[in-house]
Amino acid sequence: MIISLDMSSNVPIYVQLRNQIVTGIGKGELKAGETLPSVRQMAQDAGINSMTVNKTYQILKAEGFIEIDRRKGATICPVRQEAGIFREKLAAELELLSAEACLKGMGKDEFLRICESMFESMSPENYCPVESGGAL
Amino acid sequence: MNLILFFIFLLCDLMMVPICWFSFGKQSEYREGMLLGVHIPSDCIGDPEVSAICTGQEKDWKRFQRINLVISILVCFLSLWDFFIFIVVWTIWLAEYIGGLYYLIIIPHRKMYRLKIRRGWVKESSRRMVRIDTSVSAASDRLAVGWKWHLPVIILTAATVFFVLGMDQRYRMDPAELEVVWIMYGSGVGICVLFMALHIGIMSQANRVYSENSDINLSVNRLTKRAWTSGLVYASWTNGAAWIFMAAGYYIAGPDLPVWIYVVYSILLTVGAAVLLIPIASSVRKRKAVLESDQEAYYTDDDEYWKNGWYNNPDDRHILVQDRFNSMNYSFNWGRPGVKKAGVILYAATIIFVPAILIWTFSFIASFDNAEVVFTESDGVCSVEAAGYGCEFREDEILSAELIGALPDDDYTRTNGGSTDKVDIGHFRGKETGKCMMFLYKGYSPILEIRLEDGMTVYINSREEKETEEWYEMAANIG
Repeated sequence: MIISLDMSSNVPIYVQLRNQIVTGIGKGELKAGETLPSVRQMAQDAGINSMTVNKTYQILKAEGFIEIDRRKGATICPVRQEAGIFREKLAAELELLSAEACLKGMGKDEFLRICESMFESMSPENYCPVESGGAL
Repeated sequence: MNLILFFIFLLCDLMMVPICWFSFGKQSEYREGMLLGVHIPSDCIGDPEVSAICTGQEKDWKRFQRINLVISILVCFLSLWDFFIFIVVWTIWLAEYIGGLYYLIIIPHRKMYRLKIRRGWVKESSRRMVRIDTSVSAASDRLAVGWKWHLPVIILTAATVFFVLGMDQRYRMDPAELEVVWIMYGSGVGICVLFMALHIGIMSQANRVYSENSDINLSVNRLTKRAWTSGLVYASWTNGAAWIFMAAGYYIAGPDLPVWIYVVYSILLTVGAAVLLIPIASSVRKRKAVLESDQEAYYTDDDEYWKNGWYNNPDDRHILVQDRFNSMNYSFNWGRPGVKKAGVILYAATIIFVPAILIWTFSFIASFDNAEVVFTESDGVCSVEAAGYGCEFREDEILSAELIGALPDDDYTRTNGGSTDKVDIGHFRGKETGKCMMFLYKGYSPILEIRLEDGMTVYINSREEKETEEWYEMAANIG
């Protein structure tokens, strides 16, 4: 997987890095069990501080996307069915995005179409969706 | 001697100029999305202004190289006339050549960059973007040859200290002679250590993303790192072998080495340079083939960091980056505060030391031609001095003193000193005579030969026959 970091962006580097790795896992570009570069190597290749990469890895670990082993390093975790826990966070983020879409004059259909298209581009390994009737 | 130096410098020039000519000479070819080191969209390379800059650069480059090739050959002929004048002229030519090379690389590059900015050929999406290929980074440890391959040869080379110490004990060498051997020992071990340090530096270089295809990225990064690191290991081993061979030669044959040992040593050093350069040159060719076959090439438009002709990116933590103008080469990141400071010190040192060394060499050499041999005796201690070289001995150290018509028929090797058309001054070693010091004007006789109890023989003469005879009287009377 190729990660692109925009050094002129207002989004902090560790957030960009975290988002790109999550997107990569979501799109199936990073598969379960695949090893991520070591903190030192990732920092070296990106030309950034290793503390920045370490921060990203710790966030990803806390979110359950990766696990860190002393010998194997950082590896991608298998997809876990934790839709219930995630819903709350998703709702909060979608609320903000929906508000911004409304304010920019975007219609509901277009908004949903974009969401659908984005979701369809994801194909994580061993993905088995949990059908849930729970409201957002 | 002058003929040998003529051929050495001629060979050196005939290698240096063509290597620079062809390794930096492909700037106007469209490669890796660049012309003259500037990223230009592929549909703009036919632009008349672009073509004009490229054609001009190509023309100037060829003319500059041809003229310098001829000058470099002509300058070498000076060595047959006067070596000291040759060294000065050759150094000036070298400075002109290096300056000219940079000028002809940097100026067209700046022109092209200005044109690009004026025309708005900036790919905003790839500006200030850093890309990492996770599969390449994760495999980074396996891309290069391990640096520990240097350790055995460093240990073996360092162990030749026993040969040097043994040789000192075995042949009772003069300190001046031994100094030369220690310098050679230091350079033998030092070069191996330097190669190991370079090896570690290359391993810690950032992996580059050339393509959307990870296999291509993996292949190109592996090619580059493996070529450099394997070349450094081969060169380290060959250099180590050259010195170990020489040290063993010194131990077995003594300080007066047969010529064939020098020949083998020189051949091994030349092989060392070849085994370093051949894998690197080969990797550049292979890398070009891989990148040209790539259908998903990706170029990071980082031209703003190269706009002056050198890399200056304060946000990049790397100190060394791959050179924009020659992929075999590495360039400093002048945006790093440490590099700026080191650069200023280095340039200041170069500006001060190069002329200083030239002046010192010139005056040192001149001091031989104008040298005056001074022989004095005071309180039973004789001292001889000329051109900064000297020796002292007490009366009880003199075994014999006699006047001879000419130097004994022997094969003398200069170990530390100077030998010009006019004088022989300093430390020498004769096959039969052993260690000796000479303070001699060439073509003058008689020569005062003083044998000392530590095995040293001192040869002294004056331009005045009478003066030599007076010195003989002084030495004979106290001895």
